[in-house]
Amino acid sequence: MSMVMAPRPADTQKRWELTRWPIVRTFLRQRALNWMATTAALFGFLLAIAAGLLGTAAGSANFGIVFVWIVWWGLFMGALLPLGGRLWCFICPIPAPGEWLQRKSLVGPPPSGEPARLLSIDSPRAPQSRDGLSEGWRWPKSLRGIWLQNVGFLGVALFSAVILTRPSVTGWVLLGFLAGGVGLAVLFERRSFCRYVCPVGGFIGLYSLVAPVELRVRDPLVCQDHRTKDCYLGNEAGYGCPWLEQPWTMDRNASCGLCGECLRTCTKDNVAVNIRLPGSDLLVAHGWKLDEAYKAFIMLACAAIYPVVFLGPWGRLKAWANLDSLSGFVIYTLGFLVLNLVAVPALHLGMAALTRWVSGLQDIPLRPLFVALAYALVPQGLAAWMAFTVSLVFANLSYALPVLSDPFGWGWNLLGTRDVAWHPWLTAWVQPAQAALLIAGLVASIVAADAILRKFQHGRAGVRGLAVQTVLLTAETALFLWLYLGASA
Amino acid sequence: MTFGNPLRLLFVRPQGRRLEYIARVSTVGLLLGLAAAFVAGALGRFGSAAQEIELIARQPAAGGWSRERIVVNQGERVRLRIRSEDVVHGFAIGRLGVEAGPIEPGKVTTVEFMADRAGEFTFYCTMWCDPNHARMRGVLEVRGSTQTSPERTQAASDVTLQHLDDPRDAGVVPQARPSAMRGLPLFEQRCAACHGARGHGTPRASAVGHREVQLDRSPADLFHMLGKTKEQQGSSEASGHGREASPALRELPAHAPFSQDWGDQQRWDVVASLWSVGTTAEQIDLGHRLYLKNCAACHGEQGAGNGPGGKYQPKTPADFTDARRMLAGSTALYTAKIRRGGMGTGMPYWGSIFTEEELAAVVDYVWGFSLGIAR
Amino acid sequence: MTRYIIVILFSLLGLLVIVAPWPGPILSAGEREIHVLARYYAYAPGVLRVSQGQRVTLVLQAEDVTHGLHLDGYDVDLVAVPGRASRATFVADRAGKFRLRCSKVCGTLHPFMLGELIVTPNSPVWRAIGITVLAAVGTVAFLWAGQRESKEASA
Repeated sequence: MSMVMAPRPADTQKRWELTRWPIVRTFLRQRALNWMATTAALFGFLLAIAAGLLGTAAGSANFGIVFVWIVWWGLFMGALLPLGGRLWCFICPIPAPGEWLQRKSLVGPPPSGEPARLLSIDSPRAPQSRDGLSEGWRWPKSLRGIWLQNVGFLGVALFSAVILTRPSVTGWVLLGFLAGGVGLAVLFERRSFCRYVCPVGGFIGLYSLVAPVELRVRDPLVCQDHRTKDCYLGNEAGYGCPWLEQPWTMDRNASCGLCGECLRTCTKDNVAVNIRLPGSDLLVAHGWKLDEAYKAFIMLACAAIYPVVFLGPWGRLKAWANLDSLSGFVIYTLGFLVLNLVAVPALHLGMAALTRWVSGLQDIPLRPLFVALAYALVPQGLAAWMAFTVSLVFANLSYALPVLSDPFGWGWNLLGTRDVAWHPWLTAWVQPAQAALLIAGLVASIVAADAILRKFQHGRAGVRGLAVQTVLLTAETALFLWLYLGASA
Repeated sequence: MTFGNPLRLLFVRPQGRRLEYIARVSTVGLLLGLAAAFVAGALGRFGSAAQEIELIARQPAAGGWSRERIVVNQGERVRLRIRSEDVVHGFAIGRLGVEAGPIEPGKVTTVEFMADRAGEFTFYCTMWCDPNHARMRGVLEVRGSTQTSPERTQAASDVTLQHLDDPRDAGVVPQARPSAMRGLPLFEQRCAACHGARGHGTPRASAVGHREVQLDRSPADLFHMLGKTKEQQGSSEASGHGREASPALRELPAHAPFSQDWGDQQRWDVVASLWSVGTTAEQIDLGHRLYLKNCAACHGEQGAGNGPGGKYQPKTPADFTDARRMLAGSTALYTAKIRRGGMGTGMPYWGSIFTEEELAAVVDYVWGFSLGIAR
Repeated sequence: MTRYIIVILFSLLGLLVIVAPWPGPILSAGEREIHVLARYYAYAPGVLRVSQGQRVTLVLQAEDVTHGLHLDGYDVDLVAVPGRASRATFVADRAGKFRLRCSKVCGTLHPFMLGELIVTPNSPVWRAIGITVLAAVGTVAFLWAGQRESKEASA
């Protein structure tokens, strides 16, 4: 645990504090908030699993498919993630039962009168979990970072043709997630699953760096003299940070699940929720890591592969992705992995080298520049994923109406909407929305690249490096535009 | 890790933590509610209105119909709830006039009918869904006091049955598709005097409609008959062609004097008119609808044997536009072929599904591909 | 000051790209009949090309199971059972890329059974790419101007 209080870097970031109003603080501190959100989500989640495992095999009539991969994905990628960052993690039901077991309570906190802290930060021993149903092991150091999450995401993405279309497969995958969440919670401390294993967590953390919402301490100097660090260890008002973050040094969103425990436990009332102009998180130098850079490459590559395979006119690619033949799937897998892990990173490595050469930064080693420039891809990658989501979701959202009346596809008609026919919605708006998103993402990425380069340039002049990055980013955006608005052959 | 008594978690009110207690009760309630709703729904699925039978359709590769046999009692009102688990299917029960479709995946189609006749009926899929679509059939058994076997129809003659699969070659083909529209005036001119205005026959000569006396004669036979001279009477030699047309030709009387000035095409046109008087527009229309529903997938919409389902069959489906083969067959032959099926060629057996009227309609429609019988 | 000029200039250029009339001939006459085979999660041909203004007849033939064809942007909805073709005629008066979507559930990958109709000239995509390039250049110019301004300010 770091004892050094890193001073907050000179920050010209514009922020508006939401929690400046007492009523907002009181509201966000309600413990029932978390329980209500996750329980409602858990209900939907269990319904999806039941529908997937027991309902009709026709995906378009199954709650498990329609409400997970169309409705939830649309809300998530269209609103929750770009506007709220890790806000989904606040609602997510997957870790909820495990966390209830860990805490032996649903709402918490522990009954008053019990020792609030087991140790203070002066103690040499690491903090243990409290008297809950968990072994509380620490996550092995070698498995930290998001590499596991990268692998998990690649696995899900590779098999997505099968997962997204077969209710039983979705059912088992979701059940597996739930079991994994509970299992890991019972063995490891706090939200180790969320932080180190969850495949969604990999990209939600990366993309939350550009979200307009953040949770930070108001004044780091106040924390400097605070010895008990209730935000990390917990007290009678709440639990220590489940995400194993240290709020007093937290300066990026990547691992903050917006659960609000620190808001409740801070004895100095020093924790705030802010609205901000996004972007500063991308520039936090100590956060520039290769695993996150690779996540950015993977997301970019998949954002291009998905429209080609799923929205394209090529039946053979779909057959390969659909596991119709083993040889076809092997070819598909090889291409998929090479693109994700070799080709796209290599392209960006080359362009980083070119940037370095053109802008006269040869004294800087290539690797840190390469890793840092990957973060400029975040706005563009998010825009590309939103563009894909717009196309997929609006075409199929009409399935939600009959599915609400007949979640299992057995002929029920709970709300009378069972016989609403499929019809793609708002098709005339899709392409303009995609173009607008992609162009906005491009502009934001160029601005980010500029800011990142200037951190390396230390006042040295020149836009030549930026010009190289701009060419790369513009070409990528043009490719996405062509995928959505141009002819495929 | 301490466990303690898990029930304490639920039933003992945690001291001073009312919110926690409420949360526990409502969470458990919610989960129980979910389970209860699901169970209720599942039960409701099976035990609904009297005699409601659930039938699930899947592609034959995935199992076909969920039930191979449905048993009901005569006089009952039967309600079938049919749904598909994969692709669009159709549903019909042969000889009962029950039809439903399309059966769309994820949607339930309800079919209701009165089982007023006892016997065994075949239900089958009517929309091509799989290479083995034609095998997607089951049996509806209606138990009743009078157990009758399905209407059996007679083959026209034993001779026909024996030679069902013989290769056919008319030897001659018309230059253009024969047309009853052109042939009928010629018939009225030359033949009506003896055979009657509509070919219904007079005391002098027999009726000539293809369903009356020509059941086991092919158009080629009649074509040759029209040109048969008195010298060839009693022989099966085809005049001017030096080849034996068919044994049936032997019995047919010479007609050469009546058709002397007719060219080949005109003779074919008159033959077409013989087929035309034996059927009606309604019959052909019924045949068309049945053909589209049951035959077009393999035999093609234009009857050329090039339908999408054909490539999955052991033998290429017959090309009904191939005049050389078609005009050498008789109505009885084709009726028997459809009734019996293809004996391993992939052609399904329709005898248990089509009524006699339906069989006749389909055959008449199929004639239209090689003979222009529309009036 | 310079930065605002850049913003205004590039915005005007962008507007120009959106609304400028397309150079060259657009509307063609004539009829096209296109046979589209629907088989197992794809259409053949998967990409249909017609010229703006043509009268197009689509004939849908299903090869393996019942498929549908819904055309975005035009009022075309066809269903074909194997063995029974169906057809629809429309005038391709709008340029761009329009998706063909299967409208009858035909198996697991049905929501991804998609084709394309390209009505040439495909002005929307070129306009979008034009705006993209303008946005990129404009952003770099804006940032460069900002750099220069802050350098001047600190000098």
